[in-house]
Amino acid sequence: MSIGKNIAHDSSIGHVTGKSIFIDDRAAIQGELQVGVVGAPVAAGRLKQVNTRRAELIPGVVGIFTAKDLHHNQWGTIIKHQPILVEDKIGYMHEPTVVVAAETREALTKALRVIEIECEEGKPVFTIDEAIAKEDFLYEATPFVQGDVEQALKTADHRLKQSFECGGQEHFYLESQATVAIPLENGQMEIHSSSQHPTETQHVVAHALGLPYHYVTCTVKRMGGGFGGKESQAAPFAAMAAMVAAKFNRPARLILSKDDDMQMTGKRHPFKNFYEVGFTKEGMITALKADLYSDAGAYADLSSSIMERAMFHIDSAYYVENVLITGRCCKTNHHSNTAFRGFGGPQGAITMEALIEDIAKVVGKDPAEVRRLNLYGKDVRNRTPYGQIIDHNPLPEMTDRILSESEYARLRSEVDAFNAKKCGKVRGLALSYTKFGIAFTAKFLNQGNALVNVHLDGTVQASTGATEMGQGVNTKIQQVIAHAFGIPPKDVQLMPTSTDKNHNTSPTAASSGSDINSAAALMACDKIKRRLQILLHKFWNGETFDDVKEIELDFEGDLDHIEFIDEKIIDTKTKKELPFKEAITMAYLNRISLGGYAFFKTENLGFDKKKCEGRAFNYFTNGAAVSMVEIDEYTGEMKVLMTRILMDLGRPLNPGIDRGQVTGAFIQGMGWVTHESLVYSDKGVLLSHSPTTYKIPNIQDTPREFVVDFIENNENKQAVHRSKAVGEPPFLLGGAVFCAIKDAIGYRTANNKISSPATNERILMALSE
Amino acid sequence: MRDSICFSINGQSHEVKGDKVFMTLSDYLRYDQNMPGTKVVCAEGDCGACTVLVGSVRDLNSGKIKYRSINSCISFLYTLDLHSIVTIEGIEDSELHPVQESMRVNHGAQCGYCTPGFVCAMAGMTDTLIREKKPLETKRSMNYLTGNLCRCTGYEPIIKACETLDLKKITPLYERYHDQKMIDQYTELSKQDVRISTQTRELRLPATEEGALKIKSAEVRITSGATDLGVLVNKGKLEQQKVACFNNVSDFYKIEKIGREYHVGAKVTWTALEEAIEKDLPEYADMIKIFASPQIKNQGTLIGNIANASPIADGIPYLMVNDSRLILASKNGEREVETKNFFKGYKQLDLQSDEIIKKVILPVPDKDVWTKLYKVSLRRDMDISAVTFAGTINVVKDKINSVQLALGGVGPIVLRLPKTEAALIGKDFSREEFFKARDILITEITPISDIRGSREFRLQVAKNLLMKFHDELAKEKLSQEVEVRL
Repeated sequence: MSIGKNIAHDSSIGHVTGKSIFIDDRAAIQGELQVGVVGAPVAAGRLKQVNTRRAELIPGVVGIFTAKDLHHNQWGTIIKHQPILVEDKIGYMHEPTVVVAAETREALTKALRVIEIECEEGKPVFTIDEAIAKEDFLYEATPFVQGDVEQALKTADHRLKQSFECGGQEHFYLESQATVAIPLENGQMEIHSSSQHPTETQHVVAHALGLPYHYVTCTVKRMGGGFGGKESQAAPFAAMAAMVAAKFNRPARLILSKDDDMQMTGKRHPFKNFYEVGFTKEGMITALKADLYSDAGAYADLSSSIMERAMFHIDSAYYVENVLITGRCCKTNHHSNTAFRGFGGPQGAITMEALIEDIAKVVGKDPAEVRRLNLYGKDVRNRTPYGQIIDHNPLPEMTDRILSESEYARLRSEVDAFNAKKCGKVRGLALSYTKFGIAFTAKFLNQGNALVNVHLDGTVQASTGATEMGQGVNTKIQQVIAHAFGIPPKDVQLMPTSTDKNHNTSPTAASSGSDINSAAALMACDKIKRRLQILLHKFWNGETFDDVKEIELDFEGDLDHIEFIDEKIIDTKTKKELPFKEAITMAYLNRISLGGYAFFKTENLGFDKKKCEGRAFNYFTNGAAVSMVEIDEYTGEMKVLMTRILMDLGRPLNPGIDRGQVTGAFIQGMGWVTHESLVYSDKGVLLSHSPTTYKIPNIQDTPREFVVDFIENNENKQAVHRSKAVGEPPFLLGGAVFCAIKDAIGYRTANNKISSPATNERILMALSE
Repeated sequence: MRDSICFSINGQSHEVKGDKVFMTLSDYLRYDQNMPGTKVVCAEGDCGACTVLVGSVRDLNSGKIKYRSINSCISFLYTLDLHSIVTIEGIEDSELHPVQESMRVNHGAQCGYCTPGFVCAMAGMTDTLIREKKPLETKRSMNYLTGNLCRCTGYEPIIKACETLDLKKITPLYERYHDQKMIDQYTELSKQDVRISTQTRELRLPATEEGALKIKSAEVRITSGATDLGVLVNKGKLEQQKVACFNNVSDFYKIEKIGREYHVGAKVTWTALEEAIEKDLPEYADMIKIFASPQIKNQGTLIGNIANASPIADGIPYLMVNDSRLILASKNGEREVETKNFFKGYKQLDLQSDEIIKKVILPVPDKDVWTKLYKVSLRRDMDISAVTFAGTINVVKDKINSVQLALGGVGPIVLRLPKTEAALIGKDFSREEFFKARDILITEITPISDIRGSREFRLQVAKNLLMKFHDELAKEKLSQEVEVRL
C-alpha cells in the first residue's frame, strides 16, 4: 500500500547530496556555446539600432542576433503577439532585444555589457489608473451577473464604495530561466529546459526556427522552482538558445542571471479593484458590484485567464446573492505579467477578505463573526456568482474547529487587553479562508496522457506530462503506480517529462498536475493490469499456451478479484497467487504487451462562457487559517506570532508532501502581502531585482507558533483515490496575516485602510494617519 | 615568496596559480572542477544557495579545523589560501550525513535548488554545536540558517529537520577531515608572502603586518572579507586588477580586552566579535545578531564595514556614540582618530593613501551608561537598513547628564545629532522632553526617498526611534509605566 503514505520525495537523495542535475549542472558538451540576452534600455518607444562593434571585438564572441534572425518572432499562449526579441516597438524596460553567443562565460559576460541599443523613447504607461484613463485594455472579461445588484445596493442597510490594491510578486524560483539546446541530425532540435510546459516550449521553438513540431523535442527533468513563472515564460528563452544552436550547429546554453531574470520576466499581476458592497445591519452581504483591473504589462500572456480566475475567487468563501463582477486587463509598459501560484485567485479573494474586515468595522462586530455569517452554507446559500453549486462544503465545520482549536475567543480578549496597555506594540487577529476552484478554466487544458512501461524484472518506468518543480508530483504518481501494481515505490521510476513520449500536454499548473497525470497513469496501469489479470485468470483455469497455441486476451468479464498486493498477483477467490515478477515474465514470453498508454480528461466540467454560468470547477480545495500578528508602533515592523491552518485535502496521496505544499504556499502568500515589494524607477527599471532588495520570507519570518492540520474528508470522488489538489489553495491563506495587520491598525486608527503588501513603511504610515 | 595559493577541497589538495586565483570559489567548483552540487542563485551573498564550509589552519580548535559557513559565490579563491573547504560533495560519507537524512525524511527539500546550501549550513551548525558543546535548540538552529533562502517549503519542514537531529550520532567534519600533514604543511606555507602577477592583474597576500604596511591603499584594492567587493565584481561594477588581502596576517585576527577596552584587529570577523563582546557589550552583540547572515558574518569584518563607509552600515552608528577610536597604521607609524570624526563625507574618510585601519578600540561603557541600538528594515533579518539608530545616555537623578545619538540612513554618512543632544542635556529624562527634541532631530537629518523607504517614512521612523529610546529605557531601567502615544 503506497497510497496515503508519507514517503520521501523521489529526488530527495539527489537533492540532499547535490547530485540532482539542474539545467546548468549538465556537463558541458563539446563545442557548446554560451548564450545571453540584452534587454531594451527604455520602457516604451522604438528600436532604432543595435551597436555591436565593441562586443564583436571581444575574443570568443561568435555571434550577435536580433529579431530578424528568427524565422518567426511572435509567441503567446493565448494571443500570439509577443515578440521573442524586440523588432520595432518596445513593450517594457529590459525586454529581450539582442542575443549574444560566445565560446566562454567570461567572453559572454563582457560582451553583454558593451552592446549598445539605440531607441526612440516613447511615453510609457506604468499604472492601472493611467491605463483606465486611456481605456487601454488587453482583455475585457464577460461580466458575472446574478440577481439584481442595483436594487440590492439601493435597499441595503449599509453601503461601502471603495477600492483595494494589491501588488505584484516575483516568483523567485531559485533556478532562473535556463535552457540547453542541442542540434540533432537533419535540423532537428533537442531542448532541455527548466519549463512547466514542455509542449508549449516545443511549439515556440519550432515556430521560431521554422521547423515542424516533430523536429523538436523538449525534455524537462526538473525545475529549481516554478510557481507559474515557467508556465509560459520558459519558452522564449528556449527559442533564443535554439536559434543559436541552429545557426552554428553547436549546442547552446542559456542561463539567466537572477538580476536579468527578475528584470526580464513577468510576475504576479498587481490588481486594483473598485467595488460597491451592500450589507445588512448584522453585516450580511447582500450585493457586490466589483470592477477588477489587473496590470497585465505589455503583452497578453495568460492575463485573460488570470483575470477570470480573479473573478471566480472574488467571493473568497462567502455567499453573495446579487453580484455584478467585471474584469479588465490593463496594458502597461511593465514586463508581461504571468501565472503565479493562485493565478489571480489570491487577488480576488484578498479583496473580499479585506472587505469583510471593513464591514466588521462598520457593524461593530468581530470580523470572524461577520465571516461566519456570510460563509457558504452546506445546502443553502451555496450558489457561486458564476452559478456553480458548491457541494460537500466542509467550511462551516472547519470554521467551528479552527475557532475552537485556535481558542480564537480567548485570543481576541487577550489582544483587546494587550492593545489597551498601549505599550508601543499593537496586535491583530484574523481568520480567513481559501476555497480554490480546481480545474483549468480553459476546459481543453483538462487533459493529459501517460506512458507506463513494465520491465522484465518487474520494475516500472513511467512518463507523464507532469513536470517536477519540487511539488512532488512525480512522487505522487510513483505512489499511485506502485499501489496499482502492488509493488514498492522504489520499483517505480518517473522519467523526465519529454514531448516525444507525452505529446500535447497541458502545463503543470492550476494545481492539477497530480489530478490529471496520476489519473492518466492509473488508467495506463489498469490497461496492463487487465492483460495480466486475463492471463492469470486463464492460466489458473488450466488453459495452456505455448509456441503453438497463443493466448487470446478476449475475456470480457469482471476480474477485480485478481488483485495486485505485496508484489504478488492474487486471486482472492481461489487464493492462487503468483509473484508479480513471475507474472511479468510469463506475460512477456507469451507476447503480451507490458506497456500502457492512456489518455485522461476531467469529466463533468461545463461552464458556459457566454452566460458565465456552470461547472467551472471539478471541485474545491478548502482551508481556513487564524493568524495573530504584533506590530512595533515605532517602526511599523510586524511579526507573525501565531498561525493555525486547517486544510481540506481530501485523502492526501502523500500527507508529508501535501503538508510541505501547505507550509510553502502559506509562507509565500504571507510574503506577497507583507514584505515582497516590487520597486520601479520612474523610467520603469525594476530596482528590486535581487534578494538584496527583494525580500522573500526568511526562516525568521515564519510564525513563532505554526500549526498545520488536515480534516478527514473521504468524499472527493472527482480525483484519484479521493485526493485533492494542493499546490495553490493554501497560498490564499496568507490573507489571514494581511487581515490581522488590518485588524491591528484598526485598534489605533479610525479606519484600518492599508493596501497590499503591508510593508512596515505602509503600516507605520497607516498608524501615523 | 609563493606564486600560488593552496587549499584543500573535501580532503583533496589544490594549488592554484595565475588569473584563476581571482575566480570565485563557486565558479571554480562548478566550471573548473566539475562539482556542480554547489548552486549559485543571486551571486551576491544574499540567498545562501552557494554555501560551503571553510576553515583556516590559522584558526584551530584543539588542533582541528573550525569549519564555518560562507557564501562561495562572493569568495575569491585568494581569500581561501591555506583553508580546508568542504562542499556538498564532501558532506556525505559512506552513507548520508545525519543532516542529509533528516532533511530527506522531513521533506526539507522540495525543488532541491537551495538544499545543498542548507545542508552545508546545517552540517556546519552541527560541527559548531558539537565543538562548543552547545545543545541543539530550535531558535539557535534558525539563527544558523538565517542566511539561506528557500522558496518552496516555508521553512517549517527544514526547522523540523533540525529539531529531529541527534548531535550524539554525528561525527563532526573536523574529525572526518582532520589531516595533520596538511595542517603542518599549510602552517609552514603561511609564513611566506604570496605574490601573483599576471598580464593584467596582481595579487599580494602578505604574511606579516610589516608586509601589509608596505602596501599603499591608493594603489591597490585592499580586501577583507570581500563581502561587498565580491558583489561589485559579480555585478560588473568593478574589475579586480591590483588586490591585496591580509588574510594571512595572523596578528590582525586578534581581539583582546585591555583594561576596559576591546582592541579589535583588522581581520576580526563579525562572528568572532559577536562572541567576544557578548557579555560586555550586549546591545552591540544583539545588533550583530540581526546584522547579516552567518555566512556574511563569517567572512565580513568590523573594519571592512568601517572602511566601506556606507551611510546605512549597521556596524557604524554605535561606534559613533561610544567613544570608540581607530588605530590607523602606515610604515611611518600609527595614529589614533575618534570614529565619530573619521567619516568626512559620502565614502570619504580621514585616511591617508598609505594608511590602513589596523584596529578599532571599543570601550566598555560604565554601568550607568545606557545603550540602545535599533535597525529598521523591510525584513527584520538579513536586510539592508532604511534607518539605523544608536543612543547612549547617562541619567543622574532623573536628569540627563550626557547623551550621544547617531542615525544612519538619513544622510550621506552616519550622522551624530549634536543639536538634539544639546537640547536634551540637563533636561528631565521624560517623555515630554524627548517629544520636544524630536522637532530638533528632524532639522539635523536629510533623508532621501529610495528603494528602502520614502523620505517621509524615514523622518517618521527617526522621530519614533528617539521616543522608543526613551520609552524602552524608562521601562527597563526605571521601571516606569509608559503609555505610548506617537
